[in-house]
Amino acid sequence: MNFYRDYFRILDKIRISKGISVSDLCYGIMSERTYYRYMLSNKDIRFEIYNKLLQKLEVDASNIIHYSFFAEKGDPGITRFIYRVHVKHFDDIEDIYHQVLKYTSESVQLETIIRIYVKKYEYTGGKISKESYLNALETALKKTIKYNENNINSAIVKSLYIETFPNCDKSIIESVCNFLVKNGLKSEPVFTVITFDNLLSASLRFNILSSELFIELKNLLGKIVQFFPHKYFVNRYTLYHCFALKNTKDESELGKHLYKYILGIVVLQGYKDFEKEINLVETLFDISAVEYTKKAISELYKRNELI
Amino acid sequence: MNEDLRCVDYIEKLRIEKELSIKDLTSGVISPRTYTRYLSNQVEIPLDILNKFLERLETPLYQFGLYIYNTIYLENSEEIVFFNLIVSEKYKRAYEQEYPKLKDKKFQTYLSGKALPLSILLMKCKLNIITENHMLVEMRNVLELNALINRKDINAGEIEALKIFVKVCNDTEKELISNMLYKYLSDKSYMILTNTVEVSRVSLYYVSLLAYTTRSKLRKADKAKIEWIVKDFLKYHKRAKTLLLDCMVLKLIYDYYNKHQLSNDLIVFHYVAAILSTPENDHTKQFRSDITEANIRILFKFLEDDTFLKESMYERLLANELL
Repeated sequence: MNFYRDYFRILDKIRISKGISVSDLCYGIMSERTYYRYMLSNKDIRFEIYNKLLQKLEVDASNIIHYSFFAEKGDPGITRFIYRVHVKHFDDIEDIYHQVLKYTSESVQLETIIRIYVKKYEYTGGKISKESYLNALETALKKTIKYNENNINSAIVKSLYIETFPNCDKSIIESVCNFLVKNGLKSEPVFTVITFDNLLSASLRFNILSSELFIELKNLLGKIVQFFPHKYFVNRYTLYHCFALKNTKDESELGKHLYKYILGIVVLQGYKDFEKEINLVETLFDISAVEYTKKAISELYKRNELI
Repeated sequence: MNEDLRCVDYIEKLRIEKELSIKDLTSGVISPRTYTRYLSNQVEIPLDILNKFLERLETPLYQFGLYIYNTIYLENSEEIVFFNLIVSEKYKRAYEQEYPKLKDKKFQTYLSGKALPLSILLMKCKLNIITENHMLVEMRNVLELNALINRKDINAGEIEALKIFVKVCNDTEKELISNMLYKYLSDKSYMILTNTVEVSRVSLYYVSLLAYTTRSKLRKADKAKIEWIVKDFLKYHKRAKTLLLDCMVLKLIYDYYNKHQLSNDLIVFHYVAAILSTPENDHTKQFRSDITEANIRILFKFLEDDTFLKESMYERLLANELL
């Protein structure tokens, strides 16, 4: 419960930064004495009262929680770590990895996610064997199933499991799909888009979803990335959109999107994973990536349809 | 900014979404009747009870904060759509299609305090509904720049408001804004209050560069700051690429180079590749005039260079003196 005191302290820091006196801030909400009492111990404060103080300071409560968790305490780096492991961006990961190793979450499910991503990173970086990672994945799945499964923390662990074991029990795939369709972007956004990506990526390689469900999830991801404008995930959406177009055999429409995905790999990946990603797209679409991109851009430019 | 935010309403939403009964949520914590009294606003929910509910809902507090933020964001998406149209300078469309949905509405998202009021003023001025002088007077009242520059905290809505204001303000104000934002980017004791760290930080790069590079006079120290901001942006952007903002920041760098007749094919490559890898939408059209035959040739030159493609992102650019 100490973190509530942290929120009150951050509120007071903002009050000072904005040059507002305690008496002005408290006017109509509480006495100055109560304010100082809350500074020392805020066990019985009501959220609505705290929110009223924040309103006077023109700050959102969620900003304070986010700031306290991610910035002030030196961000344990959970989301940054998981994101980097997902996109295989390892340039600056070691420090975050060591920070995450020291961190323990109060939430059992969040703790499960952190530990399994640590294992995934260790396996990807050759620090542990594949067998060790697979065992950890099995354990993580069992832990997840033990608790309330209807949340993003459970869905992301299951999506990792599906990515590795695409022939797993169909009920696991169904439960993740159901959650994603129902939940949309209401949960932690990075975890949500990673879960979509794990599932759709597995389907691209192992055809685990029906084409209707693939399109439904792809469209949903498309809506989500409109409000979560992160280039990596928008680019992944483009890939899934292209894959759906390939099945319709609409070459002209495919030509308007596929070069964007390839250029996206160039812009985003560079470096070590570039070749792997390019090979995947060349295999999936039976093309020579750079030649295809140059031709598509030249033709669209000539027709004045490039942008 | 949601003045009527009631935490218990979001607990209830989450409970229903997670298919947990009231009995399961409240058992051992409070009686179901007390919970109903929280919901009907007869009693306010204490933080320690809220915390117990969150434990039962397997939702850490920071995820609950994001849940509230995302729910408000998605339920009020017209505010975001309107704002993005103004940033892309599509004033007529914003006025005809989105403004009717906003004009009698109490704003709810993080843009509500300053960014949306400033956007509306800019739109009205551009459509000749109000004069430029009227717009500036109103904008200065809303933004309170003098108070802002003396603070050590800034929130996401204020950063977005500056994105609008910097398009129309005078040189003195640009100097104040650029110097202030440089501090937020370079000094960790300055607080950036946001739920979308990447977007807010890239917006900070964008607004500060826009303020610096459109000032009529720059000092030597300013040029060093611009170079620092560009390099820091490139380093940050290696891992946090936001969709249109990367094109917007790279355009500022591209324009700055053109204005000062500095030639750099790498800047052209990264700028054009950023635009063309962005899915086509209304907002990408603002970059259309920069997609020339000459720039496409530069893009192809690097695409054919296998050693370049296998390098780490921005590697050659960061290795060079930029300005």
